[in-house]
Amino acid sequence: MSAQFFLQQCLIGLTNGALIALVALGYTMVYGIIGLINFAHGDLIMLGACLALSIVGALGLAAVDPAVTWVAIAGLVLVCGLACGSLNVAVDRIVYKPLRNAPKLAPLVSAIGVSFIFMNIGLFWLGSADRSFPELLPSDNVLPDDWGLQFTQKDRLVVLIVVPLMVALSILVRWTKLGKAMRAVSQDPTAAALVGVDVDRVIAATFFIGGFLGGAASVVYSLYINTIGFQMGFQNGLYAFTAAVLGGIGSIPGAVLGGVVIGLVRALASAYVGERWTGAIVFAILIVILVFRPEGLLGRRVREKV
Amino acid sequence: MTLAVLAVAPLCLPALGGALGGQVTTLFIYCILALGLNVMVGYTGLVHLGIASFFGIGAYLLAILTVPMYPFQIGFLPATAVAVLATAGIGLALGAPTLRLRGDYLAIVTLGFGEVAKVTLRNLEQITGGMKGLNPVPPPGAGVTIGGLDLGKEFAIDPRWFYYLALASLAGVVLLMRRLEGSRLGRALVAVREDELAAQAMGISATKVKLSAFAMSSAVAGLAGCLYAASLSTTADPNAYDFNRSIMVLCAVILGGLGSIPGTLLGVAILVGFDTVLAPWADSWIQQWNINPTGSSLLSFSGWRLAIFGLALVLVMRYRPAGLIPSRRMAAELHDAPEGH
Amino acid sequence: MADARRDSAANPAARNQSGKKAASASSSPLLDLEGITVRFGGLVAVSDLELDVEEGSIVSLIGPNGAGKTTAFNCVSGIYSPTSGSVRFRGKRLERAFTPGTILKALAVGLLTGLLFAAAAVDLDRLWMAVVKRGMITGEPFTASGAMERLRGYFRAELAIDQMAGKWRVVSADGSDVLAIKRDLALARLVRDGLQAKVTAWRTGPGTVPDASDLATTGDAAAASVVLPPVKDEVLDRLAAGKSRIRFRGWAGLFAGMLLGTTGTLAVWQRGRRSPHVVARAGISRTFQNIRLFSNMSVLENVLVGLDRTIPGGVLAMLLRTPANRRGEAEAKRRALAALDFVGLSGNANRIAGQLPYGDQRRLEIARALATGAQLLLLDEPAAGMNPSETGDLAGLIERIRASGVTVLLIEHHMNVVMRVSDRVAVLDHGTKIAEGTPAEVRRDEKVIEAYLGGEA
Repeated sequence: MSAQFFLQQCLIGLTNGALIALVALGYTMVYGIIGLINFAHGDLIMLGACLALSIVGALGLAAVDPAVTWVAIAGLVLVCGLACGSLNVAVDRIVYKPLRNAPKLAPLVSAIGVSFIFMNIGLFWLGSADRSFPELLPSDNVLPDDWGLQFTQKDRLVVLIVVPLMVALSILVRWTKLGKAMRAVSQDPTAAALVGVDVDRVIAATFFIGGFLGGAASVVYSLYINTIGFQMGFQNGLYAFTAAVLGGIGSIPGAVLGGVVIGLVRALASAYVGERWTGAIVFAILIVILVFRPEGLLGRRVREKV
Repeated sequence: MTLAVLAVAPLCLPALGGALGGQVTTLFIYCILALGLNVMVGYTGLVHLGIASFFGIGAYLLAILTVPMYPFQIGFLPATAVAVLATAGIGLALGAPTLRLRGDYLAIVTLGFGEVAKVTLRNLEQITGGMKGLNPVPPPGAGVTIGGLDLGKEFAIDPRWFYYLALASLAGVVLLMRRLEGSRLGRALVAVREDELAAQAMGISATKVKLSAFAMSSAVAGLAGCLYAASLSTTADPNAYDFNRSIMVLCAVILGGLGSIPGTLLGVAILVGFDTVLAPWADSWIQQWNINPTGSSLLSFSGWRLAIFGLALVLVMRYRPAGLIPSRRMAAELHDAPEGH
Repeated sequence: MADARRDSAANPAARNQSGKKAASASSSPLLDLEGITVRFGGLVAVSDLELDVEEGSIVSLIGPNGAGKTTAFNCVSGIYSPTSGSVRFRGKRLERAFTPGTILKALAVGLLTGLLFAAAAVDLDRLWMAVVKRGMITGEPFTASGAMERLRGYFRAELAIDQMAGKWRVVSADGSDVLAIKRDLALARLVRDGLQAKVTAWRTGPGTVPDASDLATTGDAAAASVVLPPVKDEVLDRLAAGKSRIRFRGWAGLFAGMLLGTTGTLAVWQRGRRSPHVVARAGISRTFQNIRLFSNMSVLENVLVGLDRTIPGGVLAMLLRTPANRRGEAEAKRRALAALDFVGLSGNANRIAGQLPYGDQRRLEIARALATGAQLLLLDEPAAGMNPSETGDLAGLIERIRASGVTVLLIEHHMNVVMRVSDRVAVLDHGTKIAEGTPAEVRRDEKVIEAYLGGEA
C-alpha cells in the first residue's frame, strides 16, 4: 500500500485507459454525427482481433527480431484498421443508412442485431472457448530498475500506438476540410447539406475512422491482453461506451478523458477493493457523474429546438 | 386473446403431463417478463437492456424469503408480494438519478445495471450462494392444506398446478396492461414517447411518468422472476439473468410489435418456440441425414442462433418496424417517420 | 377555483361576462417579463425584454423572423431558462418552491444512499453471514433478538462461532480469521469467550478485562480450565483493530452516501425546477410553431392528455378501475369533447391526430392546451399556413377564448389577425422590443415600419 504501489496502479490504469479511450472514440464519433449508439462497435473490435490472430497464425509470426516485430505490428494495425474501417462503412451503408430518418429506436435495435451477427461470425472464427494470442512482445521492463515501477514493452506498445493515433485524429478533426465537415454535420446535418457538404460521405468517413481506430485497438488489445474470445466485444464495448458517456458523448477529448478515468478507476479498484467489484464501482461512478453532470465531463448541453 | 388462451388450456390438458407442461409454463413466464418490458420500450419508448436483472432479482428475493436455509420462510404469496415491491423500488432507485438523462443514456445505464446486478449476485456468495444459486425453493403453497389437499405436494407432483398459476398470473398481467393502456397513465406514457416536450408543456411530469413506467416494468419482471424460481425450484446461477436473456426478451417485444400486447405474446412464442422446438428439431434433422459428420458448428442449426436473431432484428427494423402485430399507435409512428426533431 | 377555470375553458357559454372588465380591476399584470435576456453562446436571442400582459387581454408579439419571439415564449413556458431577468405569473416566479419538504426528501434519499454505501463498506455479504447464517447453524430457533445481538457483535468485531464440516470454529466477526476448531459446541463457546477476553484486553491494555487467571480466583472453574489456543501477536493486533476498522468503514460509507445522495437529489431538483410541466401546472399553456401533437394518438386522447391532472387516483386506482377513477375518466372525456366542440372539431374525436388536415391540427393543439385549464394561453403562429378564410375563423376562435376568461399571448405574422384581435401589440426586432402599444399606434410607428421594410441602407 505504498506510494510506489499506488503509482504502479496509476500507470496500469493509464495504459488501460488509453486502450479504452481508443475504443470509446469509435462510439463517440458515430454518436456525435448521427446520434446512434453503435452497439456493434465492440464486436467489430472482436472481429479485428480474429483477423489479427489469423494473420499472425498464417505468417507464423513469433517474438523474433524486435525490428521485424515492430514492422509486423505496424502492418497488423494497418491491415486490421483498414478491414474494420471498411466493414464499419459497409454496415452503415447496408443497415443504418436506410434508417436515417426513422425513429431512434430503429437504428439502435439494428445495431444490436449487427452485434449479434458479428458475434456469431466470431463464434465460428474462434470457437466458443477463449483463444490465446501469441506473445509477440516480451514483458520486460523498459523503465530503469531503481524506479521500482513496471512498464513493459507491451505497455509501451499501447502508448506508442494510441497516442499518435489520437494526435492524428485531433489534427484531422480540427484542421482538415473533412474534420470541419464532420463538425458541421454533427451540429446540423440539414444546414451542412445546404452549404454543400456531402453528408453521406462525411458519415461514411466517420464510420471508417471509428472502425479504423477500433481495428487498431483490436491489435493493441490482442498483443496486450493476449487472450481473445468471441464475447470480448461485449465487455470491452461496455467499458468503452461507459467511458464515452462519462466524458460526454459526442466529444472527442471527452472520450479520451473518460477512457483514462475508467482505466484509472478500474486499476485502483481492483488493487484496493478487489477485481470482482470493479464493474460495480465503475457503474456507481458513472451514475454519480451523470447525476451531477448529465452531459458528461466535457460534453455540451443540448438544447432542443422548438 | 386472453380468452382464447384460456379456452385452449383445457384442450392441452392431456399433453400437459410431460415435459411440454413445463415448457408452456416457462413460455407464460417469459410472456409476463416481456409484457413488463413492453411498458418501458413499447409504451414509453425507453430502451431497456437490463430487464433480465430485475427478473433475476425477483427470483433471488423469492428464494431468500422462502428457502429452508434462511430463517424467513414466509411462503410464496407474501414473498412474491415483497419481491414485487422490492423490484419496483430498485427500479425507482435506478431510474431516479438516470431517467432525466437523454433517452440514449438510459440504454447504457440499464445495460450496465444488468451486468453489475449479475456480477453482484454472483459475488454476494454468502447471500445468494454464488454460482450454485439458492435452492431448493419450495413450491408455492408449501405447507398449505385446503380440504385435505396438501397444496405444496400437489405443486411438486403435478405440473398442471404450475401451468394454471402461470396462466392466471399472465391473464392478470394482461388485464392490468389493458387497463393501463386505457388509463390516464397509459396516455401519459405514450404522450411522453411521442413528444416529451409537448407532453411536459401539457403539465405532465415526464420524469414521474418515466419513473412509473420503470417501476411497473421492474415489478412485473420481478413477478416473472418469482414464478420462474418457484417453477424451477432453484434460482439457477446468476448467468441465467444475463444480457442475452434481456436481449432475447427485447427481441420478442420488437418482433411482435412494440406497445402491442398480442404482438408481445406472439413474439415470445416465436422466440421461445425457436429455441425449444425449431432449433432442436433442425439439429436432429441435420444429424439424422448425416449432413454434418464432423460436428462442425457451422453446420449445426443452433450454431447460427445469434446470427438468426441478429438478422431478424435488422430485417424487422428495416421492413416491418412496427412488428408482426403492430399496435395501432406505433404502426402510424413508425411508418411516417417524423422528420428531424 | 382551478376547477371552475377548467370548466370555463370547456364551457365558454358558462361565463362569457368575464374578460377585460375583471382584468382591468386587478392591479398587477397576469404575466410580467422583467429584463429577460437569453444568450446562446455568443448570440443574443432576446435582449432585456420587458412585457406585461393584463388579465383578460390579447397581447400580440410580432416582428421579423429571428426577432426572438419564440425564444421569449420558450422562456415563459419553461423550455429555456433566461440568462437573466425574471418571469412572473400572478406576481410569482414560475418555478417549484423550495420548501422544507424538498430538503426532507433529499435527506431521505441521502439516508437511503448512505445505508447502501455503508452496507457496501462493511461488506454486506459477510454481515449477512454473521447475522443470518450463524443464526441457523446451532439448531437453536432463529430469533430477532439473537439476530440483533449478532449484528451488534459484527460491529464490535467480536469473535463468533461458525460451523464447517461438522466442526465448530471460533472465528473473527467477518469470518476471515479462524482461531480454533472444536468438536463440541459448548467448548467452542468457552474458547470463544476466553479468546474474546484476550482480544479485548489486547485492545484496552492489560488488567482492564478479567482474563483466565482472574476467572480462576473467582471460581468459574469451567471457564478457567479451558485451554486457549495460542494466537500470534499480529493476529491479535488485527482482531483488536477490527472494531474501530469496521466502525470507521460503516460511518465513512454512511457519510459519503448521505452526502452524495442529498446533494445529488438537490442538484437534480434544481435542474428540474423550471421544467415546462411546472409552468403548465401554474396555469400557462402553449401551442407550438411547428405543430407538436401526439400524432399517433386519437384526437380525443390528445385532449385527454391535457386533462390528465383532473383525473384522480394513483397507479393502483387506475389499474383497479376504482369508481372514483372511472368517474374521473368519464368526466374528463366529457370535458375533452366539449373542448373539441369549442374549437370546432366535434365529430373528429376518434381520428388519428396526425391524419387531420393542417388547420385542424392547429385547432386541436389549441383545444389540448385549453384542456389543461390554462389561464394564459401562448399561441405560437397559430395561423401559419392557413388560408384567409381559416385565419378569419381562427381570429374568431381567439376572441372566443378570451371571452371564456383565458388571457392570450400571441405570436403571429398574419397582420389581419393581429390587428383584429389584439388589445396591445409588442414589436421585437433582433431580440429587442422596439415598440409597444395598441394596434393602431404600432401600425404608425416608424421604427416598426423600418424593421419590417428594412432601413435605408
